[in-house]
Amino acid sequence: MVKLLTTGTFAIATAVKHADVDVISAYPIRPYTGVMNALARMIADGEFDAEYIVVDSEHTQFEVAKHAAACGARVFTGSAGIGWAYAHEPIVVTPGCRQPVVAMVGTRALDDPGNFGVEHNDVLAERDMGWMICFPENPQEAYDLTLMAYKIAENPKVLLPIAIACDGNFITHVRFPVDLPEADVAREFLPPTPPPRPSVLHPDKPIILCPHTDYYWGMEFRRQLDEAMRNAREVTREVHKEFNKIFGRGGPPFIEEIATEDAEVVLVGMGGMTMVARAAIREMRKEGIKVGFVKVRRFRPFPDEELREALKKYRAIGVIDNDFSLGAPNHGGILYQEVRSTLYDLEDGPYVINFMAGLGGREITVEYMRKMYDIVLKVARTGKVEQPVYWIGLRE
Amino acid sequence: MSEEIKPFELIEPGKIKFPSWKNPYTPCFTIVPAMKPNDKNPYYPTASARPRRPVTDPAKCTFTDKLCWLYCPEPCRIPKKTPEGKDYYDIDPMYCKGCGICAEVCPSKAIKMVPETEFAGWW
Amino acid sequence: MSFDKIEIKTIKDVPEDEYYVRGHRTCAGCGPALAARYLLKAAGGRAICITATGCMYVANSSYNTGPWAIPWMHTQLGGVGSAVTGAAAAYKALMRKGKLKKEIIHVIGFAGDGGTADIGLGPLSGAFTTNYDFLVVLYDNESYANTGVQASSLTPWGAWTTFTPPGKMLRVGNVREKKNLAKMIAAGHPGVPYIATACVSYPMDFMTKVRKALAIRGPTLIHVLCPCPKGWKFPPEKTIEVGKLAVETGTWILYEIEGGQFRLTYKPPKRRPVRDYLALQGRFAHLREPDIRFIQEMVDRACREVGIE
Repeated sequence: MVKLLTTGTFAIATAVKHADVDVISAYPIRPYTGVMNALARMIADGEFDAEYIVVDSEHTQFEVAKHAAACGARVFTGSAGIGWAYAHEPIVVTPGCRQPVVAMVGTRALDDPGNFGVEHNDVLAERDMGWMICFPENPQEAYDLTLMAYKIAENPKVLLPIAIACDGNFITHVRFPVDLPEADVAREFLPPTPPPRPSVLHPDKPIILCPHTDYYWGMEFRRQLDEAMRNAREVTREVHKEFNKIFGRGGPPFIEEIATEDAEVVLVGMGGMTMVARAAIREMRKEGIKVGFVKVRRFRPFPDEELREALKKYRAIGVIDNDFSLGAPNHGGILYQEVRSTLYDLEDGPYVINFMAGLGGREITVEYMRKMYDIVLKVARTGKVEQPVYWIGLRE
Repeated sequence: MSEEIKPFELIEPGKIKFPSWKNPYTPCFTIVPAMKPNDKNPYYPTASARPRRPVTDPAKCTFTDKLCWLYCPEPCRIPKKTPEGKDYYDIDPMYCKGCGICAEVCPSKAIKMVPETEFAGWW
Repeated sequence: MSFDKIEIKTIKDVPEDEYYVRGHRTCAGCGPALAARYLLKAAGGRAICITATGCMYVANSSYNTGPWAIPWMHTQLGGVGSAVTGAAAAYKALMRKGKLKKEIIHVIGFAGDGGTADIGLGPLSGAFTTNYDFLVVLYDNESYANTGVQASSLTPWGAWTTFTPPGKMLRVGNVREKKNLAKMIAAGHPGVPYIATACVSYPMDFMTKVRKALAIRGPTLIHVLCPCPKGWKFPPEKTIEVGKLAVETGTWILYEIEGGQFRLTYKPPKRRPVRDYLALQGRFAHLREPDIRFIQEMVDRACREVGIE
């Protein structure tokens, strides 16, 4: 076990190395390129063996990954922002081809205008398509979730691709203490050869993969994908349990509750903002204000039961969206829609306030966190919602 | 869900018995069985749109030229024998689309294109 | 699979086994279907085929089936270059790392002119900068046929398509000249070992080139002309004749570029006038004498360049 002060991209590259990935397709775009640089160096130095293909575009990256997976290889690719958008065509079809592609997203604001700062819209634009999506909080989680990703995606009951969404800059570039296990311990958890799967092309077992269909088949096929995504829940829980056992960390599979045993209100969010929330909670609790945070670790499949269980006891909660969804209900963000929809099934659910924060890479500071907590505390104490959506940190 | 991929059940050639989404034929509908070499696709006997069919005169067929067999896009040229034992090439009537390439390329002009209406009732 | 013989000279050399079987919804007399049949026949059973969206996807795999007797997968319209790269890289890595039994598995990409020369040109070029073992076969029916015959960059000058219909104001139809894709790939990608043109009316030549390409290590390309009765507007029995006339008039030239060396593989003994070829096709019926002369000049120029009188 090695404890390194390192970036999210290096941590993920190490996970890819430990997974003994066979094919990697690379194309540069900020802020995820670091992972491909690190992998290129590792392969050039013989740290592991893989076909590293420098391709002509993001579309090609994801096509190469899909077809390499279709021939039985373990693959890794990734992109960010508008590059992820350029790859939309192969991204959309990969779940339909039942290929377990693992891709990193360095979440970055979509063009136009160009902006290298973090926003979650690039990966969230694909939320309906059948990709599993997870948001690591820090480089340590980036390593953990990437290693787990292969095990979950390659399970024959799932066979869906998975995206590891790392906040641009805050997780991709900032150094953080990471426990990197030895390669053989990682191999104990994740064997280098993927388990056999039916969606593989080999002359010994000829199949026709993805023929053209029509209305006689379309609906049943979508239901089969739906079933695979449902299976992903149970498989994710099993894999997390196994990971917890071998590595002694990893936490619960879908959400993580931070300081919620006696919290008066909580904020809900994804990704790097959790680190800021931890700092804000420490500061406010010193002042006697009891607040907590619920981190959504996995966005797809969405953790309905876990969130309902965790949030039902509060009078008011806040949902922080590091994304936008122009024209959505209440003009709120994406996580807000999903959380509110989930909580609708509760008999007596909390007030939900939406905070649009961190857009375009504007850092969510402890001060902004405190502001958000104050608003939610006021709603909880007065029972009155003045406005459903706040833009935090905006120059008015 | 079975791991082995089996052909879908047919009610009759060309008519599939559509299975439920929980079907036992394939792990998922996007993975379907490939054909076997030299076999035929039972789900699409493509003869129904045929307006005319090639008829071979076995006496004229040179057989070894095989140009009709070579140039058929389907391919549905099958070697057959007359009762007297003469080899000649004929169609697989379930699949021939009646394009007429075989009649065009036959070096001994042994094939004539005959309107399908002359053969009503064979289907 | 290593072939017992590469050259397929006579009918006796043509393999008997069909890996593209009967029962698919292509048109009667479909040129690309013939190309697929010859391609898979020459390649044999230890191969996989990845086909991009187009006639040879939709018309063949409608609905939820397919006529292929080898492992087959669909890729996106512009994806054939990336698909063969990924597949070839996967087999290479898995075999080298001992995760898969070592053997030759031919990786074949099959895509139309629209998919390869237009939307797929970037990925195709990218594929030809790699050193993986694959064959891309471009079936050229000179249009986006599956969507109802629209113009592509490989549609010849003067052709009718639904996007380039001749009318009262715009008389000619398609005014773009046909891109020379095989030469583009050969000229721009140093080290590509084998590029060839072929035509379905010359099946022995085509199948020999397929075997040759598959036996060569590295990325290879065959651009095969496939007459299309629907898109070119001729009766379905004339498919082979139209293809023969394309070559005999010099409109389509059969050649190989092996290791950078250009070599004609067929020289028409007496080159026929282009109008013989145009006369058979309804898509050129609206052309007038000056147009036919213009086309003749283009063909003459191209033939002179390669040494066909």
